Amino acid sequence: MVRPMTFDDLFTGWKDVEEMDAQEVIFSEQDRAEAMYYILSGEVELSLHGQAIGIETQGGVIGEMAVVESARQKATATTLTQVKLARVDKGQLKVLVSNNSDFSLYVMAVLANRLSAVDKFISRQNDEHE
Amino acid sequence: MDLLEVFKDSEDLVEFSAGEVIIMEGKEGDHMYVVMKGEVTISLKDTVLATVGPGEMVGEMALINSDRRSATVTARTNSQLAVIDQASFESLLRYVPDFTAHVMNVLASRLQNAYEIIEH
Repeated sequence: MVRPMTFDDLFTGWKDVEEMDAQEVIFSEQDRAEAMYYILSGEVELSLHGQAIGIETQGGVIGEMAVVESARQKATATTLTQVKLARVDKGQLKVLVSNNSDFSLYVMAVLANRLSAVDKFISRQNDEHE
Repeated sequence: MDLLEVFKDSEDLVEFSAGEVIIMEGKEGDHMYVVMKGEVTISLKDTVLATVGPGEMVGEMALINSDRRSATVTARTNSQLAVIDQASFESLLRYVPDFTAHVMNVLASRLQNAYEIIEH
């Protein structure tokens, strides 16, 4: 398995930091995926059509669809607590991924984990329909 | 990235007949494949998530985030696949930046497909 890593050091002093209160929507399904967010502190819930698919905490990443050109967010991200987020726009993301192999491995693992979570969601839907 | 070109001289090749199961959801897995010839389907129970052909990869999830197979892969036609073990996968990721970018794009597009299945 690709080992989990944290990137708190990489985002120490990051200029584009957003602070939000609990129960705020960071992005919604179908919003243009302009940026990915690295969670510096707090908890964020990801949901699909109102059903939770996972919770991300400090060191986690949300909005990873931004790695794709002209993609849209496919899930809704809502803060569960006060949160502090490092906002990584598409251009910055491209630079980080090409210059930092550890970070690109991490983003890859984030995509794989999300894909597992969404696959499980589809399996559950299939079970409910049977 | 042209994976057919990268693995064209691979000596670790396996063949499957149409209809044969290549990867079974839930089982342990320590290798992935690149489809060299033929077509395979990726499915969850009765839902087909994707059909992939020559130059495309399958089975990478078990090497990235768990040792369990997240979906079932079945040969749709007679197929030939190149086998990539965990050690080769990790060294490709580590030393071939294009490969990492490629895997990232593959995962992102599978993720997009999976979300679209839920939307419909």
